[in-house]
Amino acid sequence: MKRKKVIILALILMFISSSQALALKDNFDIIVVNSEDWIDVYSGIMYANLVGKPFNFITSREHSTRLPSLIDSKNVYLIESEKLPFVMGYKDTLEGRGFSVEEKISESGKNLNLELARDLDINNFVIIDDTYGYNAISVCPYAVVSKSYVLFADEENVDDIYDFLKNKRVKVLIYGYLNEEVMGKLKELEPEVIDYGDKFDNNIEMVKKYRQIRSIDQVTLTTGDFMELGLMRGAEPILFIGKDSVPEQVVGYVKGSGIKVGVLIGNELIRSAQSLKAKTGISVFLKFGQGSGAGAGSTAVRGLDLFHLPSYPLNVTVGDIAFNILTNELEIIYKNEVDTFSYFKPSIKVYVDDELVQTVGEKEPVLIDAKEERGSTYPVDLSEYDLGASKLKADIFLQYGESKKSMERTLDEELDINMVKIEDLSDIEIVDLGYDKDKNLLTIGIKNKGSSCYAKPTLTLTIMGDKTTVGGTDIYPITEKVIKNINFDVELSDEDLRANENVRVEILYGERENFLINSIGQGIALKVKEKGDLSSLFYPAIILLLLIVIVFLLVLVLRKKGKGEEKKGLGKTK
Amino acid sequence: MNSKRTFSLGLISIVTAIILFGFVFLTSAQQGATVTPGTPETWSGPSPGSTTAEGGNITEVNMSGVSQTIHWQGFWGQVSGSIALKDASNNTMYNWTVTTVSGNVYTSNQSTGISWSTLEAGEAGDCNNIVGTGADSCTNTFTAGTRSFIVAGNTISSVPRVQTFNYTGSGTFDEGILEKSGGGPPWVYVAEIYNNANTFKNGIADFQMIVPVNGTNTVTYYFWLELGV
Repeated sequence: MKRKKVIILALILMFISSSQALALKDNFDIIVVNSEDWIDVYSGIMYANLVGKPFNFITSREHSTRLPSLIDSKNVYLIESEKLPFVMGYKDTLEGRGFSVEEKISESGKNLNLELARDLDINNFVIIDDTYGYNAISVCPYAVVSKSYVLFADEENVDDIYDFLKNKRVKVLIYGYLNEEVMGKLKELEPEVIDYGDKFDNNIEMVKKYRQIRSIDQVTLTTGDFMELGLMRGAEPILFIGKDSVPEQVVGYVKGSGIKVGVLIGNELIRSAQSLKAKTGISVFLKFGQGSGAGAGSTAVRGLDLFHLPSYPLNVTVGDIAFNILTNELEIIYKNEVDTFSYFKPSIKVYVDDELVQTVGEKEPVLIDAKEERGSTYPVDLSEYDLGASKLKADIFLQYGESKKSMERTLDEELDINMVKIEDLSDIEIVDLGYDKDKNLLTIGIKNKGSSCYAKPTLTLTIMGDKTTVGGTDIYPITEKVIKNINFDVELSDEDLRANENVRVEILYGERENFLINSIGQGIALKVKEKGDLSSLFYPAIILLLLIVIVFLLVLVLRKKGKGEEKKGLGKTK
Repeated sequence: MNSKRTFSLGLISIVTAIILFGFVFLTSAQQGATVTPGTPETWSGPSPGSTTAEGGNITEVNMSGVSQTIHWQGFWGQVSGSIALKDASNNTMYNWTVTTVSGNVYTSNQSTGISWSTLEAGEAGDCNNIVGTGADSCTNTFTAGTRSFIVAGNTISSVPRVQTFNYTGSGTFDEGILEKSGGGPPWVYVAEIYNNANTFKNGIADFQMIVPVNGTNTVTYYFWLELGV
């Protein structure tokens, strides 16, 4: 009997203690995040969504003073960044206001992201890159309705993520671009992959997946550049619109989707949202502000509390614009002001004395590299006009974006057109293309047949079966009448060399560095210098040998002379 | 032998339970928990947050005298022309034309998940559970009859209405109460936009509205407007 009592007591104790362990996760009413690291904030939000708790996050120091009055729950689970909190000691602040606080210190966003994943009992995961925030925003609603946790993966932590996932029976979705090494490692998990190479195409796919789970005719419209409290709850899918204009694929999707209402978050996006409304007929509600109070007063509406995320920088501008009288071409310089490449497509209306004469521009998007200044020319017929007495003006409408299909930004301005007289007499020829296996060096020889000029070569190679572009970024000066050798560091295997017996080379060139208005393109045979191949040393060796012979002969002659003078000297003294 | 074995099993179970208990407390300590098991706690509740609220003249609409109510919070603002909205960066300016926005301003204490295309007319007493059933109840506030509002292209009729006053005490700003399809929260308060109208403070605003609060806790309301064609 005594034994039975011991067993019953033990069982009761075990039940109580296991209940305690399970209740640890439920020991709070709300999650609050105090961190300027957006991955801390995002991870805290996704964790809260999956454990069914409300959340809030500090968006500024000022906001931190208002936040306690906006929390109506007693027990707070505070996630605070070790290195980047908005304010120090927020636990103390909250406790001073009467809250009970359990604190988790985050060493870094990605560490916290994986730690929280380990605390969850789920098998669905979405994996994304952490370079820009818009992917995280795009997947958030789907992650909430599909009960998936979002993991951030890169070369540094992919092994940890793989180790975490490999022993679980997981369903993985990879969204957007991940680099090759990360993709290679995660392929073993047999993930579903969504990556069309375009932010908007990927996002549309995400909206479709959400609506397969929860049928809804309302979406949130935004750009993915910030987090906002309501945005992150996953109540409806998030559809991206551009900052200044809506990409055509978004308009097309909305038209055929049955979506009736868009809720816009982002007061500066009104123009874009109006365009979507006009083209599709949906109703659009702008969530523009908020206000707080406890009664017995009135207050003005203030802006929403937004946590801004890293976004793809875009800024293309127009520099000089001139009409070249000698060539009858409009010359315009485009500038990419930021450190990332961009695509742009201009339309330029040319006015003479306020009369519209011609519209010129590009029919397809053009790539402009990071920090590049590039000139383009467009033929314009102004033969009827007395240019000496006329005023020329350009009305420029420039669309640009991260990819050819994402031309979401616009530039709209008017500029006066200057007159210039410049004839470009540059002329080049591709004379040689060789590969040194010893040094892994690809060398192209360019002969300048005309005046001093600048050249930007681009080579298309096949490396490991894939088409790869080499060059295409740097511009090289070439003095007149010389052959310039330009080197590229490229590692090519024997198989690669067999696939590149003939290489396509394209060179943009011109007398002015930012006006490479001429081009040459051809296929050229690749000459390979094998390892240990001494043939290139032949001529230097001959020259060296000749020099040695000349020196030897000189020495001989000098010695003979010296002996002869010695004999003469001896004779005299006798 | 049997009883020895049973006793051993029981002892092992007790030890396991103790270890589990110890683990729970240790984990709590590592996470910096401030709750000491067994220590009773009292919570005084959150202190009211500081706002830019001013002592207002929101009056009860059904009494002959004038007195302050703690159950209604007033909001006002501009939605056309140059608009300054205070945010983390101080004031951010927006410039919306009158044709950009049309119709109504909406507010709710639910930040997301409002199904705009299926809203229906609410009832005058919908927010009595927030403000109570006293003199300044919801029922005693939305007493200016009913009217229609157009929301997401749908005409919603018989919406209970309140009119808030301008500086001269004239009922100027129309406001109604909407609810989700089938009834119940979230309640959405809809206010017609009046271009540059005189407010109760003798200022200028495009909208002015009141929303229910319980008089104790700070509540956040969010604001929407519908884009015009």
